[in-house]
Amino acid sequence: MDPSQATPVPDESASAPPPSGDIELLIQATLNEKNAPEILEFKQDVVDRLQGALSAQEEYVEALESDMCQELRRMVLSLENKRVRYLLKLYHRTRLQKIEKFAASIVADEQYQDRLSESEMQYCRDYFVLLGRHFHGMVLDHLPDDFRPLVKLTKLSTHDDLILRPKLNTHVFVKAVDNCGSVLLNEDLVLDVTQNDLFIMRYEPMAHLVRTGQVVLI
Amino acid sequence: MSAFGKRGVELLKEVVNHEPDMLPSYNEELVRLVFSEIDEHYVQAQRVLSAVNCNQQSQQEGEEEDTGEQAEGGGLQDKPADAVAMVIHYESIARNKRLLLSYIAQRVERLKNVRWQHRELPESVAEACSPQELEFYHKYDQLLTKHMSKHEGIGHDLTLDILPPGDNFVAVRVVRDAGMQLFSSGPLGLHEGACLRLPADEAQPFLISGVLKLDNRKEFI
Repeated sequence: MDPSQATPVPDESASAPPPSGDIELLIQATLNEKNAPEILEFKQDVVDRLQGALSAQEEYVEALESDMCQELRRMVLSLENKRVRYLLKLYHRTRLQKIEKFAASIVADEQYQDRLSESEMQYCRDYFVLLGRHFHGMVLDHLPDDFRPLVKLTKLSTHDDLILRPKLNTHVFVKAVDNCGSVLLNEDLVLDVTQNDLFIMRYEPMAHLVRTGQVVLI
Repeated sequence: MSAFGKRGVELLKEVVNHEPDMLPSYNEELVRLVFSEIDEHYVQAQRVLSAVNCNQQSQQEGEEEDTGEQAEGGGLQDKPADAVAMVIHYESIARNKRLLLSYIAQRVERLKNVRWQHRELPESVAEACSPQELEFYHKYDQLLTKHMSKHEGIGHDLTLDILPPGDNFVAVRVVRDAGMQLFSSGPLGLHEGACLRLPADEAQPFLISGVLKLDNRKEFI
């Protein structure tokens, strides 16, 4: 790129550039969400901050549109906007797909409900009801009485055996960003996790460290 | 009823083996046959049960027993053949239930994909649906639209921007006439065969609906 053209780019003080730390955080959250078998906590504050910064910068880019001298600057900033918007959408979409997949187990388990944002929880409930009605209308209402429950195979089942639950013992790629001390793998096996260590291991022993952000899934 | 659950397996195979992006038409006939198989199993199971109960009652007349439940267990234990028959019938119904639910769930997944990829229901898919599935589609459409709306939801259309953004502009070719459309640069006629350079985000809806196609030939860029 011609350096003389690029000069206006570094000066971004007039606009409101999205705080780059938040972008990193959201990228990490999206990666974690993509790789973890269960639904993770919704990063409300990061999403809110980025959303705010994005709207501000979108307005700023729009204001630049009339000024032809600022064309390059406008293009660079609008590309940045697109990337942030893509990231936000990717994050929302990844979560939504998981929520649909595990809707039944989320509705049944309060521990998961706390991890969803308000609108996600609403969506989850509505989706579960919709799917339940559909299954009843198409199949369950035509079955003998003993076999009608939605979440159980028969009325005699001792637990909800038709609910799809996240498989917490699947293996994931883990990277430690912090010294986490020892992690208990099972009764007699302990793993020392130090910074920058890489593991391929079961998700479950690491779940609490993913939640605190001491390790990340890659 | 020679092969238990075979029809259900056929049903599921039909949808699983179909092209991933397409929805095979709803096989009402086969679903009905599976339901009748289930009913038959249930009737048979009831018959076995009532025969056992009958025997018990005649036994009970002779000797005193504690409770009905224990007596029932005792009745089936005395006759392993009946107990096995009951288990087979119940397992067959359970298996058929699972197969039917999987069939419907597979179709639901495909219907949802249609909503994410095409935004509106193509004629060919609508014809393949049962009336209830159409209703499900429309309800799901409403639910998703509401979740993505500005006022009640997150304010992003998640069905767009599936791929990470590349250039600001893309070269496209019009493959289906769409008349005059308004772009940020002004109104533009989309006539079949025309090669254009459009802002990527504005071209995207037309790319999804099949009006435009990405033009990768370098000489036109």
